[in-house]
Amino acid sequence: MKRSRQALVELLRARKYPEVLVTFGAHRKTVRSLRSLLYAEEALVKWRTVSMFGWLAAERPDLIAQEVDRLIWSLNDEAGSIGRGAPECIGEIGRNNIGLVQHGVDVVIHYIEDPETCRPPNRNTEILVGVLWALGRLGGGKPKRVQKVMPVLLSFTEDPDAAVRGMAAWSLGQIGGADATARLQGLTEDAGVTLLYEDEQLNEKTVAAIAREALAHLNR
Amino acid sequence: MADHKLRETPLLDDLQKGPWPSFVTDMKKIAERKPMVNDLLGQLELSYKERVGHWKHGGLVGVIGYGGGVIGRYSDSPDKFPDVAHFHTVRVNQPSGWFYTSQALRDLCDIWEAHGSGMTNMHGSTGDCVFLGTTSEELEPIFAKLTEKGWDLGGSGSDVRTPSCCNAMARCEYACYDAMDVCYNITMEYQDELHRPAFPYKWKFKFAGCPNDCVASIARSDLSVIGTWRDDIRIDQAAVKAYADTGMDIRADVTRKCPTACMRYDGKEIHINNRQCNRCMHCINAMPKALRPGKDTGATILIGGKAPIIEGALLSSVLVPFMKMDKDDDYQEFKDLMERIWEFWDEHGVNRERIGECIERVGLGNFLEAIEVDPQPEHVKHPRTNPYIFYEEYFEDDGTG
Repeated sequence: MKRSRQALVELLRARKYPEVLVTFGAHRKTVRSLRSLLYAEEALVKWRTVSMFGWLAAERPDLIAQEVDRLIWSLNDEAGSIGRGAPECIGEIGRNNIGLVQHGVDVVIHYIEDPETCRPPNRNTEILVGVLWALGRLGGGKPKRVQKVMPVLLSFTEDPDAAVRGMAAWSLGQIGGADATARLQGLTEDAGVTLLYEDEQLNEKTVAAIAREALAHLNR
Repeated sequence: MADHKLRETPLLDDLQKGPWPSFVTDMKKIAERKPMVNDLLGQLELSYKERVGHWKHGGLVGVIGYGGGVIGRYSDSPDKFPDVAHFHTVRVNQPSGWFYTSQALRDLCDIWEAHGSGMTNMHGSTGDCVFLGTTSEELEPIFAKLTEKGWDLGGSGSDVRTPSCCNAMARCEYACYDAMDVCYNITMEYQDELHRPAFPYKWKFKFAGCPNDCVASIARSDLSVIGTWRDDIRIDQAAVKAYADTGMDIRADVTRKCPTACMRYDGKEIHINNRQCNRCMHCINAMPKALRPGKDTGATILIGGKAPIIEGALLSSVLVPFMKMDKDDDYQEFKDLMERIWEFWDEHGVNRERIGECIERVGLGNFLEAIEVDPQPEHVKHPRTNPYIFYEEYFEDDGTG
């Protein structure tokens, strides 16, 4: 069991997504093992698992037909589960196959609209950052999908936590719009540092660097 | 003396009256040194006054690497009760059979005194040692100290909940398999499923060494493993006579209470028609020196028990009438069965649907076929009431199959 988990982790580290199915089988048990890796302590493994779900959404949607429901449930389970990685996963699945996540978009949007869940003292910053990343993936190229939460999204650029400001900046860079550009310009001197998963790589960056890259992306 | 003002609790004070122990009395003692418990009393008093609970729905809290083990609790009145703004529960995986050394208990209490309210629930209905009340910031330090002492968190959310078992062979002569060993083995085997929720809903294992089912597995677990035997009840007729000689009315107290009337006492000896025995355990419990379970022992696997949340309460029903719980084979037959059941549930279960509800929805026949278990008489709940049953053989005979 432990050996097979390690082998799965190695394949994800190497971004060998098709080989995951070849090695472990194209069935639900493999998907279940993948879902458990959303809780991996190593951040890169969690993020690569998110990418793996995106790949499945594009290449084998039949294997993850129930997945978005499970992910939504993990964010709502009344009996004590944390739903780590669920927003990111919903975002990545939606980016690759929007037909799989219709309700998921609403749930992700709802999360940041709800002050009970995204404002102190109740908020879980890791989940919030995941939601911001998911909004960037869902709204990138399709800003209408997330238009209704733009005011809230903009407000997170003033958050005291650099991880939240940085991810809000990245997300605004994906979604775009005049308000986003103005807000990003205000972050170009922000020295706060955070981790950003982009192009399947996890890098430490300043909020300023994220904002400048976001502006460059929007000006392309 | 407390260095904070203790809450007035006139309604709760009523619960301190009478000769029985009172949780209010215990909490007041802790409240003197723990402001969190003081505010907890205040909030509880308010709930008694208003007849409304003041806890909000669980939140998203946990420790790194795990998806369960912590249940988020928040007060809906943090302005009035700031010390219970967070009041999270931490579940600690209990040892098989709840055997602790006094040092282990001291370790647990020291950790909790330093990082939480100091209040525990020994034990929760799933079986865990439950720590009641801490803040989000304390979760990682608690987890670090627990693991340093060799403890681990239990399950919560849609995962394998902490398996639990009776004392079995450690203390009980009726145990038909080593329930404590199986419980430990399964707990270790399914660590990933226990700590990282990936199921449609919760999954509870309980292991009972004999049909007395002291852990009430039949009512409280999705998968009950209850010890049994498939040969004959062992009878020591000399001991039967000894019971009679002490004045025991064997007919009235034992044989006539047999629910299947499978036994009789002829004035000298007990005779049992073992094929009719349904393992109620009454006779063995009544005459433990004269009657014992057989020697060919194993377990009956039952499925589907649950408390009433979505559908009503269900008792587990027989899935596998007899399985040898083979330690030398690392209980592989049992684990293979679990994999097939989980594969089915993961594919067909809907969110918040326990396996018992799922089976009721899809039908036992379809479920058995999917998990490759042959239908058996023990699966029949009652005679069928619908006469329109079409067996597969009919379709094959007329060429439509």
